[in-house]
Amino acid sequence: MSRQKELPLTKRKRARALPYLLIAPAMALFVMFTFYPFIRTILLSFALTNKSGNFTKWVGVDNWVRILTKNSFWSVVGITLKMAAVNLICTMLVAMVFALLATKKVKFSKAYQTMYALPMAIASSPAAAIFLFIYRQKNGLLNNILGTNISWLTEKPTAIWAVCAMTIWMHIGVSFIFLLVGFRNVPEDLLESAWLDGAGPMQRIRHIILPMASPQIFFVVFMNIASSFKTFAQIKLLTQGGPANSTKTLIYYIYENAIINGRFETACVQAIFLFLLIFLFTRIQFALENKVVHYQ
Amino acid sequence: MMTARQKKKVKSGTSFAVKVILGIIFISPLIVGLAFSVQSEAALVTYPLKLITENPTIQNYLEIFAKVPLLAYLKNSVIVCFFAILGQIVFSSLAAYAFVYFEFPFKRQLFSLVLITMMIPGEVVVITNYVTIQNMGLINSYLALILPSLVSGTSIFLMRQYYLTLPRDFKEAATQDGCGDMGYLFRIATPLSIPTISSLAVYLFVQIYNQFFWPLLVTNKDTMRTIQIGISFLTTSDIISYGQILAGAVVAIVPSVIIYIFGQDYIIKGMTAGGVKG
Amino acid sequence: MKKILALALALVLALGLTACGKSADKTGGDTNTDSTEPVNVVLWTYYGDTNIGYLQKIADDFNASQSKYTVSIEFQGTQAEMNAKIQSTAASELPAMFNGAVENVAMYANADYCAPLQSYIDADKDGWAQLDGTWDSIRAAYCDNKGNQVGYPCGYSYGGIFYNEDLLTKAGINAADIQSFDDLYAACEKLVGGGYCTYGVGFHPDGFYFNAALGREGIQAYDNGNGYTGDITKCLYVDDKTVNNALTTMLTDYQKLYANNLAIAFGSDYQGEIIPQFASGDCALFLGVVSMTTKILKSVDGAFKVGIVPMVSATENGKRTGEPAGGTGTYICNNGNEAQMQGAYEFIKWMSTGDQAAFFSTSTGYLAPNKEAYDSTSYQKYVSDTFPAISTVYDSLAKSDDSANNPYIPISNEMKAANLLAIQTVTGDPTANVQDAIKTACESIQEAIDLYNAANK
Repeated sequence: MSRQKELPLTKRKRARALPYLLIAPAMALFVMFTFYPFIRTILLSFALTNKSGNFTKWVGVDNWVRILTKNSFWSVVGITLKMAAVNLICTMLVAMVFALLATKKVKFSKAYQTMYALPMAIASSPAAAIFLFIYRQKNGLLNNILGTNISWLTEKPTAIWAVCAMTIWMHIGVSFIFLLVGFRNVPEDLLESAWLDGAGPMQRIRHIILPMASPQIFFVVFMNIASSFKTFAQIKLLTQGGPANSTKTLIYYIYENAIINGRFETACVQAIFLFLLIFLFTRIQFALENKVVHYQ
Repeated sequence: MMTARQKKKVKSGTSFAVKVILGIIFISPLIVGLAFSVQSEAALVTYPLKLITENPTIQNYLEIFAKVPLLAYLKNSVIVCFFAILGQIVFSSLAAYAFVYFEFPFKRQLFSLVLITMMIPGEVVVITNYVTIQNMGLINSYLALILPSLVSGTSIFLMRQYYLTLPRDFKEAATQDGCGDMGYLFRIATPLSIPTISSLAVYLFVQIYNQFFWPLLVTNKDTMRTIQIGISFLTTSDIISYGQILAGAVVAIVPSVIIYIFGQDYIIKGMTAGGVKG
Repeated sequence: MKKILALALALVLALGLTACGKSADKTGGDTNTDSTEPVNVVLWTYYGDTNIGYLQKIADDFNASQSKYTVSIEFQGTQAEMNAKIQSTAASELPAMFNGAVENVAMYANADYCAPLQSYIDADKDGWAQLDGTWDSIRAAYCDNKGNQVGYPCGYSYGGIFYNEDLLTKAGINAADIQSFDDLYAACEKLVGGGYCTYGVGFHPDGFYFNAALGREGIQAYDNGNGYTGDITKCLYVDDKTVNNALTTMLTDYQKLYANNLAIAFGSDYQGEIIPQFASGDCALFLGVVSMTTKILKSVDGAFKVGIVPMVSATENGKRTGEPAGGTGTYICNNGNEAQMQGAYEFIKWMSTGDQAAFFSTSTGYLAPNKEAYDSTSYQKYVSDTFPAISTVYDSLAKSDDSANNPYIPISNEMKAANLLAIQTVTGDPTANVQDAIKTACESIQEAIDLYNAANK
């Protein structure tokens, strides 16, 4: 009797510990490589550091006051928001159109499906090499085609769009793939019955495909918010934040302070600010999740 | 008079052509890179530029390979990607499963932590992590290259999103059939999630293959370096030929494009095999 | 079945990782404690493939010349990335020497990871003849503000204006007359206005030239004698009338050059855009550093005669005998291993010997750092055959004094970035207020100085 009683008890204990065990490996790695350094970042934002990024003395909220009262900081925040919005909206729109175009499988549909996603397989430095060739003023491809003589990357009105164009081009592929998987998972019979009910293509998209794939869409938006704010390599490789800081985003500012100038406490304040910015937008998105997303 | 069938054929033919042309425009930067990498420096400074050259040359490629041990770098990139992706898939499946199928204290808080990891800018944590890796004595090892990439909030979140779409009654039915939690995860949930896993794998491949600063920090020796460092070595200020820069870019692009096309094939197979029905 | 498969996968993963770690450890640990084996001396550099090739040849010669040390070279990304890495690397993982820009000397002199050359020079019984024969201005640039040698030039560079002699002759301009930014503007106006070329000048976009223009004129833009009589505490861009006038003149000229379309877009890549346009005759002048000589001569390929005049000064005033040095030096890295650091010193000495230094200079276009290198047969051949125009630079060097150097400032990166931003502000907008640009630069430099002093005292 006693054996029978004990077994379910240990089993229940095991069952209670199981979810923690499943999460443990991931959490251990997060603690080591994300949370520990981030907590250090938070602490250092209230201190001064030497060039090696080590603590030298506490200064309270001085760093925060110093940075947040500077106009140049807020202009960087403005550029960050502008570029993130452009990247997010354009990436989502184009990826959505591509995914809808490719949803239906026909003979050789793999041809265009492959092409729509291909840029995702390309690392930023080789991509930048190609875009530099396209954008360069003298003998540049774009100027050749348009018959213009514009220095795309060094003139204020064009530089930000040139960087965004490359970023969007690189980000579309991933979003496209995730959306495509979502759209293709929409059950065929649902679409068929809708078609029999006389629903046109736009109606099918609006009323069936988009709601049914909403978890995937939700994920892609979430992923793009973070990646739009964290776009870095393109800026570093194409403009280094120039001309006259017109493409300098928070993430590049952080890199400049932490890596180039060795001003870690400044980078820490800016990193936390960027974190809060992404956090805020993600919260807004999550607040919308329950209203919009359809789980089966 | 066209029959309805012919009309339909023409219509689908046109839509196919439009889709392909769109695709070609979309990947035109790649075609540009490839086309101009086989041109001599003289051809690259003529006006107007010609996409197709009459005398292509592989000189640029020969010089690139003479300068950088690209194949050795490529091997390292592939090793790092393989283990990091494998790790991410295993760890994220386990964690996501816990978040979807269990109720336990602090679940919400723990999941929030996972999401928060995606919002932390890597540029500030990288130096602290470098010091950590140094303290562990792992400089110049594959482990140093792989460890921080073994887990990511993105992959856990994606797997969770997928498990959420799996109907609950699958689990109930499995439990009634005497299938335990782990049994359900490995026998039912994982096979069903193959399309998601494979798209995640392709996504992760690109992310990890793309890394530059981290591999540069934790490796000093040529034998441990990855392909992106090789490319930056070529483009660091004292190269004079744009053709060579483009050739280097193409060399870095080709392996990931091949892996991508192969991986994409896998996604499609996965999608037909594990098609989720509502 | 699936369970077993998953377990097996996890096992493979774990095994694979430990195996990788182990195999890497074997190749990774190169501690040469055995006295019969040569000591491995590592140099960290940010030079790309071409210059590493030349350095490697010098290292090969060194390794063959003696049996105590073997020098190997490791690429570590851009200069900023390499500095960031050195700053956070534990002493035991550091190399024995590293390359660094001359503008960063103050930063290195104040850092734990750099072991100043001076103590090795003092302990050297054989002496270092080449050091005594080094041009004063470059030697001073590699000293701290107490006169101790911190590093030694690997490549001695120097700001200057390359010119297309054919175009200048046609336009009736004497290159030697281009001495200030006003002169530069006048020359460009003549060149473009006369229809000789599309652009008068192209600029290598770097904050270095901002200080070089001031230094040329003998202007000290920072207190305590530009940092040479004490630590810098104040940026004088706004408060000092002479400094402010010089900056105003220079930035106004920059602004006018761009407002009137006389220059190639500021910020254009010098290799991809400016040198090709210079070589094709679209642009007559190029403001760069002498280390670009080889690239320029290669691109021009004999199509016209290339000349060079020293860096222009900000205005027409001042002594105009300062020669602010540029380029890259080699420094000993304090990694705690005395044998390796001694080896680094020996290698730095070796690089400065006539044949080696001349080889590096003639291959790259850098200046010969000392008399022995300059007098060597190969360098004399370079001067007489390859680039005769370089003699104007040496003439100017001969007249130089220590009236101005680069500021001895530990926040050189922030300073250069702020200066570059000021130039970009006025070149990008013909209506931008020059005084505002100066004020913005001054404020951000002052903030960096204050922060550095607060954090390090």
